[in-house]
Amino acid sequence: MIILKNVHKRFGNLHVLRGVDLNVRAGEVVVIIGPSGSGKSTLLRTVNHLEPIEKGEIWVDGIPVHQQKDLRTVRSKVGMVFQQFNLFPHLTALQNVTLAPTLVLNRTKEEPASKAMALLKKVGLEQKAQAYPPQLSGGQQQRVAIARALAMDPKIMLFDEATSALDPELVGEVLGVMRQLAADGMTMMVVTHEMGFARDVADRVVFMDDGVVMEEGKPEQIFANPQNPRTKQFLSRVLEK
Amino acid sequence: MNWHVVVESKGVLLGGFLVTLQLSFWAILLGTSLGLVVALIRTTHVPVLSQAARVYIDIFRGSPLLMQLFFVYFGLPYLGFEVEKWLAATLALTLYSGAYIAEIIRAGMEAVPKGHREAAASLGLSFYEMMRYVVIPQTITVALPPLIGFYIGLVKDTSLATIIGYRELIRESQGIIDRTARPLEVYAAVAALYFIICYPLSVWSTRLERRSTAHL
Repeated sequence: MIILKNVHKRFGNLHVLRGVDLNVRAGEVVVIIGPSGSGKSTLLRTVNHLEPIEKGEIWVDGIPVHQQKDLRTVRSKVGMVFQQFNLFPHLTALQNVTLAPTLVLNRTKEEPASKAMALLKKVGLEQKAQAYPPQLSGGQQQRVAIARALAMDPKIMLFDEATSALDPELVGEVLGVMRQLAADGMTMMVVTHEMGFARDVADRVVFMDDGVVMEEGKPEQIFANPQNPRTKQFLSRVLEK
Repeated sequence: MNWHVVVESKGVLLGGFLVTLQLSFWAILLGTSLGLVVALIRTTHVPVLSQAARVYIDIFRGSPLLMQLFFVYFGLPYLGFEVEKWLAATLALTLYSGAYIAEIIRAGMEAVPKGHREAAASLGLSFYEMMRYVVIPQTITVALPPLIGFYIGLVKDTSLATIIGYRELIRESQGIIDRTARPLEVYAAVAALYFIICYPLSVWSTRLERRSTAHL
């Protein structure tokens, strides 16, 4: 479903991605962990071409993203959820969800609206459909953002530290929605600091450091028996909290 | 005080008032359209174009409107374009206000978080759709109060068009004063007429500001 081959990316002199290879199969949940500055968020953002790459290849569902072709198609197949939610504050929760399907998929007004209500119900917010984002809590905003991404019927969902900006007591409600999605068979790439989520939900855990994939494997293997010394060091630091 | 002179000349004053109203309307409409286009050019960072926009803004914000009126009215004929007074006044006010409005709109656009553009892009929206449905609506909320403030100033600035002999409100009142020698009464009436145009604008601005903070 997603193929990354020798992906390189620089910000000025900073070489953030130094040859990343990663494949994600349909229906797989891949969780990317690693210290901040390891390039994991940047990697995620290359998949839907929010970050262009300098070298390497990225294929999403058979489309060569690195050639910058069919970006609209790629982006309509790839949903993304951001750390800062990025809901459109001038639109209601419902309008946030219906905007893209109405414009990009050229659907009539009624169909996206009923589908959006179903999605808001799925994330537990059907009673907030008419609320504006500033009236919602962080957890509620992020759940609307997930519904908004799902409204495009994506084949893949990208989560870029989706719970990092939330108050601790609101993290659970967002992770709950993500677990449900994974259980429904969605192909997911998740960048997170929630090790519990990685352990329970991931089919595969990828550890990144210094712009490369240091180690990958099944969660029980990575967490119980990491091979790379950097992985060991990172896990001992985060798990001891 | 002798208000009789004002009543006597009400036809002339009203004519001047309508000319001022018309000039204000076109300056606001055309200046805003020009400003929007220039702001878009500035923010898209197309090399030569965005520098040209920058130069235009600097020149027209950095020189007096009075000079701009002179250059348009007396300068264009040198280049072979005869311009009538109404056209020269409208053109100069459009160029002048376009430069200011471009900066007001640009500031409003830059107040929209980058993440909102990324979210729009990640949903597959085209550049036009992103601007139309995500960036510009938010820009309007931010930029409209300062924009209306500028419009109020612009209405009053139309009075400078009198300098090229355009028969707007000030020019007409000057004529009445020359005839009647009652400057105080005539100017009071003129001030009231400007107020009639400006006051609704400032009420509108206050109301918008209240509404834009309502659901924040």
